[in-house]
Amino acid sequence: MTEPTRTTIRQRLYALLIAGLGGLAASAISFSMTLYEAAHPPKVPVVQAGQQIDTGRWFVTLLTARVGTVPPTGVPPSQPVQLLMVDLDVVNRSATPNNVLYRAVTLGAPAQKLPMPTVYLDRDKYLAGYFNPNMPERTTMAWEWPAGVPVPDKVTITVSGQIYKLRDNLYGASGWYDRDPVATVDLPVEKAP
Amino acid sequence: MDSSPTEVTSTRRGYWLSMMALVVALPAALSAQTWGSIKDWRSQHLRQPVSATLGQPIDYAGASWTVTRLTRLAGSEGSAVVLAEFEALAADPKALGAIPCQVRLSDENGREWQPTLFADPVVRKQYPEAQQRSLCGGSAFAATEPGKPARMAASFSIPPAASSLTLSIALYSALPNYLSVSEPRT
Amino acid sequence: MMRIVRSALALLFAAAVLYGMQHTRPLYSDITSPIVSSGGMNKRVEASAFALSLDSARVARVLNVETFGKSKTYTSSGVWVVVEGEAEAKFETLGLTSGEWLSGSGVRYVLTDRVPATIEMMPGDAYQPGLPRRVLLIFEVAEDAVAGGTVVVARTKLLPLDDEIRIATNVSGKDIEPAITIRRNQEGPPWTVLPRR
Repeated sequence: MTEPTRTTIRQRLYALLIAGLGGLAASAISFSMTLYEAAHPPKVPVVQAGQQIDTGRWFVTLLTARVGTVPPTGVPPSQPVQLLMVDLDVVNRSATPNNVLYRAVTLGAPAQKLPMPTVYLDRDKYLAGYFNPNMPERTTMAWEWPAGVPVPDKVTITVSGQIYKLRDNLYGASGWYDRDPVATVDLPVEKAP
Repeated sequence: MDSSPTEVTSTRRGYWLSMMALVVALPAALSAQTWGSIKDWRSQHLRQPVSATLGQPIDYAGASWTVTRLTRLAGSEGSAVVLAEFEALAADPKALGAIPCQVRLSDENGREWQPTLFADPVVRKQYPEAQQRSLCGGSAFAATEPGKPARMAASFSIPPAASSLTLSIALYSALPNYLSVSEPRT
Repeated sequence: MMRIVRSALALLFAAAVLYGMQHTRPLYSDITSPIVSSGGMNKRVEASAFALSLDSARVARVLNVETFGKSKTYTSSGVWVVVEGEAEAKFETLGLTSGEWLSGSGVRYVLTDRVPATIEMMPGDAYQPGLPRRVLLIFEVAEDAVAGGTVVVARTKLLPLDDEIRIATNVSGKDIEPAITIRRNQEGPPWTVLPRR
């Protein structure tokens, strides 16, 4: 071997330049794709009440919405509040129990951000804990409605998809990750006299 | 591009210098990184007993401690109950109450029992006063006025066959030292 | 020419090695998985910190819970599995807070949170070294998850590389009782599972 084995300065410069340009091009493409997606949000299908929605992690069927002051336990809270209650059927399709239904089903609120909903298990008329896999349950989600804000005649429930990643980007751990909404459901709000 | 002999030697020297530096720097970086964990581990696992005798006061963690009782009772369902009563006389009980305190019972085989949440009914029956005392820690010292001893108690549920029992009281501020009292021989 | 070919080959080789490594590396959950000790019913299974034996596993459609003279009925879209056994700590006082029912196909069910805490289930107790203690585990599972199910018990779900005991139950999934009652006792054993078998 008589060829010189050490690279010249010029060669190194070229290598650096090519790598740098490549990186720059990649980030430019990624950024413009994000911009494009933000400017053209995918149309979320509007689903009828009573129709089953597949979110990946759950089957969700929204049924009815109503407003009232007594939660499904039948025991009114010590300080009277207005509760927006939504009845729905859920099935946990994943292989492990979880108690994060509120991540999949959200209420398109008026202007304010609503506090986290409470989930009740209709079978017990009591707070729901973990939802076991493949066990259909009828539940009621109750959002505390802000005082002084009129309850509309119709609410929009957004159902978000979740996907399972065998390896996440940080640890390589498995888990469920929130994705874009898969459906919205308009529910008329029954108002108890 | 030709390399002159002097250039080759200087490159080599640089290479070996870097290697030697790595040998020193790598362990140094590792130990600097893990020093906190090593200290934590030491404080949790390396312990130095301060032997005390039943009924005799001894200075520990800025207070004068006396273990006044260490008795075995017959518990329910074939278990034995060990009741320990102890008190601490501190100049500033409130300050002592802020420090986490750990009470354990161990036997000659190295088995370790934590105090039970609720005392066995036999304790309630035979030593109702112990029932009033709280476990070592904040609440025991909070109710104490300076100049008066804080009275504490702990009860354990153990198999009757366990022998050579030792009560240990550890205040986190005084670690690795802990107070150690052996069961009186009968 | 030779140099270019060699470089290209080296690059391909590196890519292949990286691809292979990416696809054969173990999952995070495998790396941090608990250390398992397995066994069957009516056998004492030893882990390093505790031991467990199970002697009864019953399946019912309805669960009745009787505490302080009050009775409540718990229905289910699946079935109830009531497991009893004995647990003992070996060296230090510990809690057993994690209990799971692992179905034959790998689906997990956790201890039910519907039954009130007045019934002493396994996570509510402290286990003392040398003092074996009866344990009660209640699961609510889908009916097809009963047959070939395994009970998985650990000190906590959160500690990687800790002990875990797995006991394969002998339930077939065919022998389903219409109802089981769990009664809290005022004295003696803390609970009774009825009807007696």
